Amino acid sequence: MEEHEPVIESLRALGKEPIDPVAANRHLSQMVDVRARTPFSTKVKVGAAFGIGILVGSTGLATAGALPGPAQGVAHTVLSSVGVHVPGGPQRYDGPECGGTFQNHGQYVRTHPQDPNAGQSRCGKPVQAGTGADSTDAPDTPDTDPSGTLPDDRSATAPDNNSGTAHGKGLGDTKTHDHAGRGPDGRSGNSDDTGSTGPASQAPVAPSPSTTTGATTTTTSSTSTSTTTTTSTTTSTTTTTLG
Amino acid sequence: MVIKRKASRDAGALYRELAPAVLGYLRAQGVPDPEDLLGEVFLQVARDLRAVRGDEVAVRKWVFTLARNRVIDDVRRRSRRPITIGGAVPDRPGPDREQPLDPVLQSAIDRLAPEQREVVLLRFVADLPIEVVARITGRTAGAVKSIQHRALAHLAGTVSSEARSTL
Repeated sequence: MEEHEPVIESLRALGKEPIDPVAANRHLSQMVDVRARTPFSTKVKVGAAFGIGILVGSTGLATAGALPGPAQGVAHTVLSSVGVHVPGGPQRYDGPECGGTFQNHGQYVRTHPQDPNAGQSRCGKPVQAGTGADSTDAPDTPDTDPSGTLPDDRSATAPDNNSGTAHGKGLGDTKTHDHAGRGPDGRSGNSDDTGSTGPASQAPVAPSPSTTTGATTTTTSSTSTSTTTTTSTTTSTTTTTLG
Repeated sequence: MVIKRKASRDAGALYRELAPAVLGYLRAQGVPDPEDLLGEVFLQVARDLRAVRGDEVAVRKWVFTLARNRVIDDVRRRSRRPITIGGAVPDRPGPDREQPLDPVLQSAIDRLAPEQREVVLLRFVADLPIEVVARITGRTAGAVKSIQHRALAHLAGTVSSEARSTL
């Protein structure tokens, strides 16, 4: 490259020629103006434009009533609080069989847990969602099928709930039993321990007229199990307690 | 470890430091109105300088990338809308006639292939390292070295022949 040094020096000299002072002053003043006009960075401006676009667009859709049902309802509520009227959500079906007005179909179903046909009802659905014929056509299966899922499920729910309550108490009793059956070594009676204790573990599920009696029986049996090896009078005492 | 710091430069100071080199680059590229283009380049510098991070070489590279893009835009714009003045259409717009470059050198630069002209101007007028020129032009450093070598040989030959012919 040394043989080209004169050419390189000439090229370097091209980048060192002074600028016309008038042009330089003009450029510098333009640069100051540009910097004064741009207080926000491009990212901030793009973000602000995006946010404003979203706001204007969603407000426009809400004004036109073109938002999806629940969103239209929310827009109606929010914008009416600031004095802007937009149409509300879709009208809900509240025929005479519904027994009231519901915000949506889910609310109707929740308030009618005993009605096996509540799910197929039009109550609470948007009026334009379908006709009554549509709603009765589609879910025919539970009525025609003798072992239909929906009625069976619903009929099975109530006993389950009741038995669930009983189980809940039984579990509480089991804990009582575990606590009472904790041996001198301090071993806690978890479910495995309970299963291995034989009669004591069977006590909660043993048939009994009432749950309370079952609990008492559980406690007593546990006591008798732990004392059987020592004396038989303990058992008689326990029986007395039971009586 | 290279710590990238935000360029805490003043656009005015950057103008005073780099504007002569940018103007020389624009003139040597044959832009019809290099001072106007120089103003456009530094308007963009003033707008976006806050977002530029890096050392002096990075800032220099950024400024000359802006200038290079402006030259490309200008060539495209002129190719779409050619300006006819007085009925005579020049083959290639010449440099600013009020402040002409060395006519022999300018003639030699004009005869270079476009990629040779670009590499030589970025290397010696903009005073950028080979690696930076390679990044700006999208070539490897080896390719830039090769192009530079051929361009310098071509320039030296043209300048010496022109000098002999003027004598």
